[in-house]
Amino acid sequence: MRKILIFLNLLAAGLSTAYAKSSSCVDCHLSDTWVSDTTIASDFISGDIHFRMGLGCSDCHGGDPKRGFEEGDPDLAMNPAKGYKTPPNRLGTPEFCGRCHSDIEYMKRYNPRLSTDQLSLYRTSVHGKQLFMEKDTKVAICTDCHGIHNILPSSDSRSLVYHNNVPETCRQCHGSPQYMKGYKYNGKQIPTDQYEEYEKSIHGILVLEKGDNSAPACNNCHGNHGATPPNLASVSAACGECHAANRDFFNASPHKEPWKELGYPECEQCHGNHYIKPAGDEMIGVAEGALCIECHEKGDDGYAAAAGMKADIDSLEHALARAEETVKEAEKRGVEGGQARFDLGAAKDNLTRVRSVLHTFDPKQVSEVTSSGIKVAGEVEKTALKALGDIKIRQIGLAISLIVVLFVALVLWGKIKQVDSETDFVVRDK
Amino acid sequence: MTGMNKLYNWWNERVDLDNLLAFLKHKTVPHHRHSLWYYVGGMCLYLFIVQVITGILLLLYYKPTAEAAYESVQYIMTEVPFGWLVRSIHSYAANLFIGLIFVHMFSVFLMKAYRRPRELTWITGVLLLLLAMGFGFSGYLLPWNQLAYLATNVGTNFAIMTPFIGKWLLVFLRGGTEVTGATLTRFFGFHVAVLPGLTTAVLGLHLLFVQRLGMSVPLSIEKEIAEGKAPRKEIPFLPNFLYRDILGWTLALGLIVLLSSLFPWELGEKADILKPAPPHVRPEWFFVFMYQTLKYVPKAVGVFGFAIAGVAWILLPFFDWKSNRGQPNKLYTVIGVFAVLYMAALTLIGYLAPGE
Amino acid sequence: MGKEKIPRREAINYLLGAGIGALGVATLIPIVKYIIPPAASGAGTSSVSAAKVGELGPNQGKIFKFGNSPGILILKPGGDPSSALGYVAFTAVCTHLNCTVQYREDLKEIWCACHNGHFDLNGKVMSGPPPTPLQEFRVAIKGDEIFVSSEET
Repeated sequence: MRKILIFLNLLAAGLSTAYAKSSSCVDCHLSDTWVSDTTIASDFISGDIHFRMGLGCSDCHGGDPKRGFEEGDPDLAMNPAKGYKTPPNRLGTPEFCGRCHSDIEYMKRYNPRLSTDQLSLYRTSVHGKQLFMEKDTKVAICTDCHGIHNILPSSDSRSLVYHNNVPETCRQCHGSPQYMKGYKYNGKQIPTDQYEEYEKSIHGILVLEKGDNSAPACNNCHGNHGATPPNLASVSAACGECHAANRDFFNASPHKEPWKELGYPECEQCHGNHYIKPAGDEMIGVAEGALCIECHEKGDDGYAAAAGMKADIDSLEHALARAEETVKEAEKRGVEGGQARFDLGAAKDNLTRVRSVLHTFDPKQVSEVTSSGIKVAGEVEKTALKALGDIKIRQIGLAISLIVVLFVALVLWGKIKQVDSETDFVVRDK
Repeated sequence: MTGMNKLYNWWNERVDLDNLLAFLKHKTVPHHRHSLWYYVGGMCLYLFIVQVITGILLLLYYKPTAEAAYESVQYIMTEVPFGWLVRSIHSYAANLFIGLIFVHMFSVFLMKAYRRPRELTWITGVLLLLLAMGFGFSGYLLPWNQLAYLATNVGTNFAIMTPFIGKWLLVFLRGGTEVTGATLTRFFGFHVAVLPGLTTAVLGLHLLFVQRLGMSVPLSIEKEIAEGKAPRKEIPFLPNFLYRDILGWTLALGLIVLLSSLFPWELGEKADILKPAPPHVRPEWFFVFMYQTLKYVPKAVGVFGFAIAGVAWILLPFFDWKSNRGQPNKLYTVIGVFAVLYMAALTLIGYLAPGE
Repeated sequence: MGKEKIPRREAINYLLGAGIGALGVATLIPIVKYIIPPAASGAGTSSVSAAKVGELGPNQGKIFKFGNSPGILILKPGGDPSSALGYVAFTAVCTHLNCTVQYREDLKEIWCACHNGHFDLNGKVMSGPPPTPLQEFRVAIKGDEIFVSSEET
């Protein structure tokens, strides 16, 4: 099996020789007479992005790629005089990669769109600070996430840093209690259940199960190279990247300032951080299980507002359900031509919208949305009922036509009697 | 000469109305205690004409493609004035039509009216039943609702069991290997062109035979007349019998309009090819007895059994020598009664049994 | 009363004629009404008359009924109102959570109020949560009516 893979890799290598400089490094490192682990070289030439860009081993490691294999002498290739340096250890890796990746002029030649701030961002991150200042080599370095010799661009779905693969990549360390033992944040041991929590969440289901890369993975909220626990200026800024309307409503709401003082993490306070459930209407209000009563008590303004908003939303849902039922009945009976269904869709929009507007925590704004929705739902129900009512009109028409039918039947009966009386049924001739 | 006379003479010169009228004037229909059954055939003819008329009206608005069929029926039911009435009449009359054909067929069988010289009338009659069931099967799919789609799926599946040509027959019926919009368009073609054409031909023959041979009188009545126990009675077709026909037709129309207005035919849900089938799919009622039978016997046994039974049913009259000689044939009566009871029982079970 | 006694036979014939006549009328009236095409446009969600030429000014949009769901027709800024090329039409059902979108004259974009989704005049998502572009419809002008259809070319 190994031999087949090597053959195919060599084939690929042969085919890509047009791209790469010929290299005795690869030749030696693919041969198991010289090295014990040939996967380094076979991985590299089978699709690594640096290789595809025309870079060879010596572009990172130095040395002379033209000599050594044929002569059978590795030192000719791994020659310090030709720039060869032993590969860096974990502490030295970020700066090793940064030699090129932070050099704007160099990177412009290969991919002008790629940013060159990864190393400087990394220095500000928790990983970076731990590595450079505490000399802690357990933290993530470039190669832990990107790979070493089989690096793929993040747009490639096989890459470790492809959007939908990111949670699994971070989990390699952050999901292991043994590995993370001793690491604290704000005095508390960093938990290691984020992946499990995320997996159950609405975002996790979208990313991990449905492969929807418009939903957030770890890096969307925590950052990539500058990864930090979300000490963002505000949590709502992170969530608001996508949930902009909710962010704006929240920032204008009466919760914004008090929660800042209380140190409540904005969106996370109600929705959680990793395990974000699909939001439901039961979260708002004053019933058991609602979130509002965790802080608000009967008698205070917040309690009244919560109760009012929930009541409005419930009324809207109720009105929509009734309208839906009537429209369905009319459709079933075959008297609904589509207009009511169309209008009902518009009313349902109000329900979707109010769930966003409630982040203003302002009963007036909520009720504005719900009342217009209730009005439309009411009109829809009226239209559907009218259609159903047409059935009554038909029944009247029916009664009239039946009277005509019975009349004709009666007269026919009389006529039959009449003609029968004039006819002799008995057949007398043979 | 009056206007009417002039008109009559114009047509008479070209079409020989005299001959036709003479025939009609002298046509009589036997009158006895079983002669009520004579009206059923005419009722079937009347309902067929109702179907043709309402069918043509529906054709003005119906669209036979998967994308538009359901919506076009919805349009007829909700936007076209009296569309709901035309469509509901078409649906109710269709079921009444097929039901009465069964009644007509069994009454003819039990009264042995198929006996010599009326064998050809019988054969064309059974063919008409098959054509009517074809109308029912093809028409059922046309609204393209979920129930019809599933029933068609199940129904056409049995085509595969035909020996030698099974696969080809399935593809021919479905317009492909699966039931799709192509099936719909094909069934539409069958329903509005192929079947009407065939039916016109066969019906023409059937009516021709009926006119030539007149109504058959049950053997028991013949015996009574021969023995002098009862006089032979006949009523003139024009106007006595015809008035009675018209009375029946009027009441039938009233009944259908009543049903259509109180219980308009439902639209159902639009067919969704991707939705998984629910467990209790059933074909239309006149196929249920066959479908139910197939739940108790192996499929091959059931399908071939029915095929053989069908062929035997058509040919039975040729082997009823007793009736041809004027003698009662208890065996055939038993066969007939058994057939009716079997079909009725299996149909009932199909609807009422738990888990069905 | 001074009237001649009408023979019974003629009375019945008269009544029969009247009855059958009434039945005939009761049958014909629905048939005739049925045959006359109704004002509402035909069934089938593939093509719909969305507006009249001149109804929309430049940089204006209109929501119309396309089958059972809403569509949006926009006369582009600087678009020629008499030519189909001056218009764009899409489904108005947002690809995020199915709210109805609207045209924003200030942004010259299609906007969804529910979660701030923005689409450009090609239907492509510019920002916000919608995952996919809006399905585009074909626009054709026949006479003074603007038709929108979802059929493929």
